[in-house]
Amino acid sequence: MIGRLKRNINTIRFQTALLFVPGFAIYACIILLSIVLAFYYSLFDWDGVRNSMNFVGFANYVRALRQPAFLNSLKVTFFFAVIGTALVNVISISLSAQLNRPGNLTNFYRSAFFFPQLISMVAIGFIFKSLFSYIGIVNAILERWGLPLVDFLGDPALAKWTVLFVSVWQITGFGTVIYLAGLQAIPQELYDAAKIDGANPWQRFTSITFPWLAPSLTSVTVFIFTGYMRMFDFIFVLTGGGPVNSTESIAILVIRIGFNQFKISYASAVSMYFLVLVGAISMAMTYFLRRREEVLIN
Amino acid sequence: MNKRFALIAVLLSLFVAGVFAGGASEEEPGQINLKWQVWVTPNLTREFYASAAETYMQLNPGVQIEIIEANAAGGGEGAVDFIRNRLAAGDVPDIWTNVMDAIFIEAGHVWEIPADDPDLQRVKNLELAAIDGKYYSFVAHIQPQGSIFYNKSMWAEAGLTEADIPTTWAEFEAVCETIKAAGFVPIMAGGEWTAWALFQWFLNAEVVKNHPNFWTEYEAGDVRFSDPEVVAVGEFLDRLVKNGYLIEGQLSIGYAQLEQGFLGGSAVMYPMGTWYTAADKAADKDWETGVFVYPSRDGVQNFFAGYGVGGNTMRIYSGSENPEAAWEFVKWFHMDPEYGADFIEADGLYSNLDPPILYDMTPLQREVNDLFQATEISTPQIIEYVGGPAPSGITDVFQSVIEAIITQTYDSLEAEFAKIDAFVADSM
Amino acid sequence: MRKVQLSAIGRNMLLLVVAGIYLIPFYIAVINTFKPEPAIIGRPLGIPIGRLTLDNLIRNLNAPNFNVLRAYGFTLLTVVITLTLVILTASPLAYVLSRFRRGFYKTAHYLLLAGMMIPIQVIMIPIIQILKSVGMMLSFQGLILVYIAWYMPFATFVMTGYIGTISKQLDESAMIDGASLVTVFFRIILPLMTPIVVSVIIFVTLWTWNDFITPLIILGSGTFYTVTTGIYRAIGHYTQKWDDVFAILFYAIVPMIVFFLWLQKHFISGLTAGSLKG
Repeated sequence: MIGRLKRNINTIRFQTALLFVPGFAIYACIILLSIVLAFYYSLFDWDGVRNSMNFVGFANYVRALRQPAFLNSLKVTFFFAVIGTALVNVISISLSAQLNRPGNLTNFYRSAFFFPQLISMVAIGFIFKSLFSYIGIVNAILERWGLPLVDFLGDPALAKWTVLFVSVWQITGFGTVIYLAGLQAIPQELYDAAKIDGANPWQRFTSITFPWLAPSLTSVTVFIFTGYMRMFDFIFVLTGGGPVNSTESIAILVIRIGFNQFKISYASAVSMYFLVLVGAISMAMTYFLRRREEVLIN
Repeated sequence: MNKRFALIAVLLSLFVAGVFAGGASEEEPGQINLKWQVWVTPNLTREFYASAAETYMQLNPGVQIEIIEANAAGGGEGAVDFIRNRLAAGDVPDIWTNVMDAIFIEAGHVWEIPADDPDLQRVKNLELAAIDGKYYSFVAHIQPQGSIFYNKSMWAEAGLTEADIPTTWAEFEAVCETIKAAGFVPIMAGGEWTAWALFQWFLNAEVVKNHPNFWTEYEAGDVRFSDPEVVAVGEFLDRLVKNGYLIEGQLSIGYAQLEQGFLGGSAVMYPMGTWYTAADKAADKDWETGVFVYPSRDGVQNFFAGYGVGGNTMRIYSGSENPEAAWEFVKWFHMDPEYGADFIEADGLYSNLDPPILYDMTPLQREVNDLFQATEISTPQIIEYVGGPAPSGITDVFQSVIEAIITQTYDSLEAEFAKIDAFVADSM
Repeated sequence: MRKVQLSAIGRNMLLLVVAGIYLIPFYIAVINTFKPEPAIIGRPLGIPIGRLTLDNLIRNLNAPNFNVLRAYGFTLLTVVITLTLVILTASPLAYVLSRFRRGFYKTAHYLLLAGMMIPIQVIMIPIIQILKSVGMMLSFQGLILVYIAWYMPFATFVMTGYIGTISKQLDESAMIDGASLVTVFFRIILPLMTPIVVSVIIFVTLWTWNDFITPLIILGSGTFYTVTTGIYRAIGHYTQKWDDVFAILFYAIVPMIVFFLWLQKHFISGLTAGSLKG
């Protein structure tokens, strides 16, 4: 009897492993191994071209902290991540609240907002460049109306807002669709009851809508925040990190020092900082938001 | 337990291998395949390269040339980035165009050309291309960049004459002021990421002429970017920006669009390499173009020769299976009377061969040639090799500094130039 | 009553303006596909009715180094094989991670999360080295392998959340009846996962179709290319041939829009299933 039980446990263990291993092995052999390799490179002075590799310990990590470019890229990345996430949330919650009413146009609007999800960031970048270049379409219109021209992508104070605008434009549709689904899951009776109790629209929003949206808020926020932290394509196509490094996010910086300047090891050290940072933030965020969710629901 | 994991591993690898059963590429026996990475610009089009390859293949039936266009995959700078990726990937073109970074030579990836090849006797001052006494390419053509083009009819309309052509910074600024007062934009820019080129050209005109072995001197500590004589170049550019002499919005406009802008009369002067003369020739416009050499602080002028720039430099991969065949092709492309002429004409180059390859030059192209011959000093590119190799990616920091000047967002010019020194120190 | 109508009009006006902002870039992309280059640069918003042309599309249908049908076929093949393998490997992995949340499996869960947080560009060089060492660089197989690995964290993440909503009693009663864990998963759990599988299909299809860096680097200069990498063939360092860019963009966008309009209902529900349960 005990032998059979043991065999059963063994069988279950074996079968669990059988289900687990294929997917995890492929992931581990490519992605995890790459991260480990990047860490390994970060301890050397490899340039990616020559065969010589000298061990330098954590010198590349110290070097990053001393470099204004690294600190600047942190600032830029957080600018995009914090303001972008906040804007996307506010806009998509408001849009979904507007859309969550009976009306035959709802489907049309939802499709319109979702369209930007369908095309590549490269394509989006090129379309918006034709809009926002100094001699682009927007300035042509401003000129026709006799208004002063604006250098949306060439002015360091403005370029990051332009990039932010384009990213919000792209991501909001995603948030809207998810919040809309969250809203549609709220039982209508709750609102009816609140109306009978004499609650005004704002009270109804804070006491019913917002708490019920909490799970969507968590996933949208974490998903979008980490997405912003990784942002590369938009910046690459729109500004390449300029002007004066004002849009140089960490991902752009890593590519620049690794690929343009042939400092693969140094770039790897920056990537390691990046990985730890994003990992810590998203875990803290998930933890915090999930707890808030529980508080709100109870 | 271990056995079972081993079994899983075997099953998994069988699974992977089964799904991924791949096919090898087929090759005809006796055929020589060459992959030629090209550098496409408004002058040197895809079609141009394709027809060159086609012609060569007809002349040499045993050779098959495949054209590969460098693109900006991965976010780097064109051809250099492309070759680095291809090296990492193990799929390296046999012939490289416009890949100038010294790092590839140091790493042993570039094939040493036979300097005793009899054909090379035609090359004037072959030693120009020597790197530590070895040869990896030869200078078949010179692509001068030390020129500022100007629109003669707008020049006259602003009340300027030939006598006003500036040789010093002060004269240049006076010319700009006159043009601006006449209601024109004085200076057209290169656009977007090429802004560093303007910076480099003025650096050459002022600094490199005094430091012919700039990077060796730098390593010895004799010269720094934060030296007053170098910062003076920044101050000069800063005055041009402050006084509104440069075209607006240049950092968000593309190269080709700004070139069209100059051809269309949007600005009077255009600091640009002589490849512009080819575009000038092709353009449909009703005014003549003039040209003068970069002004300097003291008026002693030099010409930025641009040895081995752009489509002009071709190198051969040391790991190529057919370096000799590649070498024959490179020589043909540069030296064939017909194709060599097409090439230098298409890109506004000047033959460095004796006897020279001639083409039907426009008056402007002849004028550049005369200017170039008449100017005593000529300098190579500071971003590549001046007495020693430049640190990889130095254009990144040049671009950042010139952008700070153009957008007027720097704290102090000294601090900006110190950033270049910090970058070099970090790279050496 | 009047007030309600007015506010409804106001709301629709607002939404129309926002929808306009969303659609204008598409209008630009589509209308310029049918214009000659001077008209694209000169009047990008205009509709020159007499001068609309199919030339750009025809020219780019079969350019010397870019054949659209071939690119479609290759991209589609990549998507289908990637999807099949991702679903076959990620769903059992997610099942294990969802049901066994202790010890090594918990660690594995966090290790997978780490993969969701890095941009692929950052680890491209190590990936190239790994593929090269097993001879899979510059091959279709290498591309597929990287895609599977790259999508694994996302697919597992959303599937784990979804499986968490499926009652454990289902597994247990089946096991008591003598079914093995593998059988339980493939016979009972997987069929219940349809909504989340649809969601993975949608995301992976969109991402793979639109990706350009991975195929550009891993496939190199070989004979295979995807639709999106085609855009880069029309864009040089100094030149942007807008007539070619818009035409190839058009070719790249249209299948995704058809895909979306065709599966719109599933898009919305799949997307929602993925994010709410995750």
